[in-house]
Amino acid sequence: MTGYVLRRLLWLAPVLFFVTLITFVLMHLVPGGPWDTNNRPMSPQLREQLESKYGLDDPVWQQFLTYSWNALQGDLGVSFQYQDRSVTEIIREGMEVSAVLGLMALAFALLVGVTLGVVAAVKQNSLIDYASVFLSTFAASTPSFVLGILLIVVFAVQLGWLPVFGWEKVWWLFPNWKQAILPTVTLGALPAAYVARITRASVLEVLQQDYVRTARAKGLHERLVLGRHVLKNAVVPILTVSGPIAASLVTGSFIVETVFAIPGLGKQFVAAVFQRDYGMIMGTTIFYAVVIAMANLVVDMMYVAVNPRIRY
Amino acid sequence: MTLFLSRWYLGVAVLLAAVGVVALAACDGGGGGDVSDDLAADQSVRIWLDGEPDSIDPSIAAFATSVTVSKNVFATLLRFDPDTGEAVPYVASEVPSRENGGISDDGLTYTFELREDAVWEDGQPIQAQDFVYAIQRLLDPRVASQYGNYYYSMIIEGGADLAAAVDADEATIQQLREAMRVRAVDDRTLEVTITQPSTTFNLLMALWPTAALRQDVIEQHGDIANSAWTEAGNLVASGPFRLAEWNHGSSIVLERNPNFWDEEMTPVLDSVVFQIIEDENTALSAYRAGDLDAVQVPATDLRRIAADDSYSDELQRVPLAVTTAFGFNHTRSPFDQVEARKAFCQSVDRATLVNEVQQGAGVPVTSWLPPSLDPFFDADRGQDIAFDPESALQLVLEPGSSRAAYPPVKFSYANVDPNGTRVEFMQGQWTEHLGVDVQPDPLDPPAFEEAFFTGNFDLAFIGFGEDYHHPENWLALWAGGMMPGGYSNPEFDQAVEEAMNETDPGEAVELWQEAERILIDEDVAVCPLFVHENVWLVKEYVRDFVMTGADAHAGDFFYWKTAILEH
Repeated sequence: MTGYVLRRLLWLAPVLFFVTLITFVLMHLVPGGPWDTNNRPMSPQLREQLESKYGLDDPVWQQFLTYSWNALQGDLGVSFQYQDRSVTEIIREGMEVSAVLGLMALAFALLVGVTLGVVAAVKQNSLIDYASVFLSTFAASTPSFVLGILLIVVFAVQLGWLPVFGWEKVWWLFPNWKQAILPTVTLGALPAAYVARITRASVLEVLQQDYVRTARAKGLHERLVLGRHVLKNAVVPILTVSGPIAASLVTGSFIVETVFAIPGLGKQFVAAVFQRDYGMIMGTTIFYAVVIAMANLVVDMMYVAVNPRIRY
Repeated sequence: MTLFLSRWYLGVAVLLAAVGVVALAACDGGGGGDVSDDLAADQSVRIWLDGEPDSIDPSIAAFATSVTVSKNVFATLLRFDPDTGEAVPYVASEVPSRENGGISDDGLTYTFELREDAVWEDGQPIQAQDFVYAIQRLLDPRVASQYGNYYYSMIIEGGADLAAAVDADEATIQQLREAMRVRAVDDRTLEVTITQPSTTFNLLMALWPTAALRQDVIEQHGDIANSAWTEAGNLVASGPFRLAEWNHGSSIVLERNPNFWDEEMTPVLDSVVFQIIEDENTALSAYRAGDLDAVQVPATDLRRIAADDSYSDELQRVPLAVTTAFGFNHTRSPFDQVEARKAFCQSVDRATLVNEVQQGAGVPVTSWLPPSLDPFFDADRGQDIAFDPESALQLVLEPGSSRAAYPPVKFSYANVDPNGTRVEFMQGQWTEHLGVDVQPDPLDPPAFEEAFFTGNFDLAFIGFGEDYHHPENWLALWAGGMMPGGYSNPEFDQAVEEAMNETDPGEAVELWQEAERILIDEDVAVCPLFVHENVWLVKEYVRDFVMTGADAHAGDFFYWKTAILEH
């Protein structure tokens, strides 16, 4: 196991190298550069000044080497758009917000998804089952910008219960709870629906197992049957999907962050591409590559934890 | 300055620093039922900002979101009079002129006397040295300032040498900075020498890039090119407001500068809160929910909101000095022929474009200069390119320039809403009236800019917003073959040159009008379509949220006048 983890971590190096290389090359190939967002003709002199300031006057291969060397030492450079703010700092600020929102959405998705799924399975083919299936189909098929705007119109504009936008930190990394509700629900709706479906199927399958019949036959209370025998075994597939869900949620959502004006990383990533902000494009891409590689590693290790038959 | 309608998150991006006509739309006080005439205890206004400012450093700031903050926090020698667009005193005690001795006889040396009571937020006096440092920094090649290179490097004596010293060593740059003819005669007297007599130099000294800067503050937080000193807590203000908070990506909070020194401009407000919201629908929802006091009306909602009586007391509209147009590539067939340019221009029904596609936002024009540019604007300009489908059809049927010989034509534009619908409308007009098939070519904004500025287009959808309220700002950029698309006419260049050098105001008006006549009527160098309009919703309890055609961001000329009424 330890050897496996070490090997996987070693593989991270070539993966990151190629991610960096490919992103760097693509970024320079796309038409339009970081100075083509100024809405004005640029004198050759200003171009020279800017290229000198940001080191773009070197040949591209040399820029790549310089960038990689700096990145290795943890220096991701500066943003071209947000005048010289350090990319590391912008990523840290954005990531704090996106991660907290993502974790809350994950908690929401698991709580709602598992509850709906279990209830639907236990009361299979009842009205509750149909309602839960309808709800999760609705959540799964509504794009998040539609759901977000719908929630804003109902709960913020019409009822006035919750604020429309914003993310003010009030305690450590956590925002005002009122501001958190709508984006959490919007972001968590789709994974909640997914978890509900997985849970329902998984619980239904376990319910038909012989040991469940045995547990019932020996007169165990239904609550104990469900809690001790069914859920414990049904949880395996839920755990395995939680990993990728968590990874996608904590890295931030462009749409949810835009609709609720939340200063997260998902928005920064997309904006960087639109602005040809070379520093931010490289920084966020490398950062995401690391996060996703690590998340995959954690998921693979979780397989081992929940299923002793898998060995690496 | 130039705005080619392309910044992806700017709805109607406006980069104006100078001034247009004053507001149609001051709130008339009293108004609706629950609003009294008394000032509220909480004097704070919450205004929508459509994106995180790139930088509020005056040497760097170049976009509406940035400039708005910058010009409320930093003081310049002169500022713009909102009624006339002319330069009026700010930190300087008077505007230099030949009469008051501020401009030397040869017209080259400007002397600015500074007010004695002008101080920074921390109580230190604002000195001539602070302006010297600001201009040196503006032209320092290590800073790479857009506005510095665009407007100031050529006009200030010695500026071009400094700006050209890219990659020079520290000592050389220092030498060139000192050699530049901007110097402090004493703490209160600034002397600037320019390369040639100018009728607009005072206007340039009213623009935000020349605001005083504190060398000690900048150097305390990084090297010369770094903007770390503009973070809240580091920044030392000289304008009516100080920077209290900058929560990146979320909000910017300005507070009244307790040490502000100009009585007229001392704010009523305690604070201005800019809420950064990229999505215009979210902003509108926030306004409706009462979380914002002022918001721009999304282009797609204009008709609905303008027709809704419940908004009638809150709607404010003001035409902007921003002209929207389509540009031709004069080096490519068919637009190397004036007949084709005229035909394309004559076949667009601007009234329908504004009323239907724009939902009423804007004013149709056939001139490049906006109507607000009085007295230079000529209402008769461009009569020959006004909507006239019959004449247009005749032009493309003429043997010499027949449409049958046209190569395929592409219409390039920055693919941000609502440019697509505008372009589709024009495409339809050309099909209908000319029988010419034009291919829309949507590009993402940086790709569009690259295509446009390298002249790689047939037709391009463009716009221009002024920096200062003077025809020079509008017309000089067409001279000398500078404008992408290859327009070049020595006769026009000559006319601009003459107009720029004319010191008699009356003569100058005629000369500028003549230059525009050549550009538009004679050459059809560009096809003007409409001037933009700023449409905002402002709560009734916000008094004197005065919008002008010159705002970078709605109302930013007058935040110091704005007040909140009891509600």
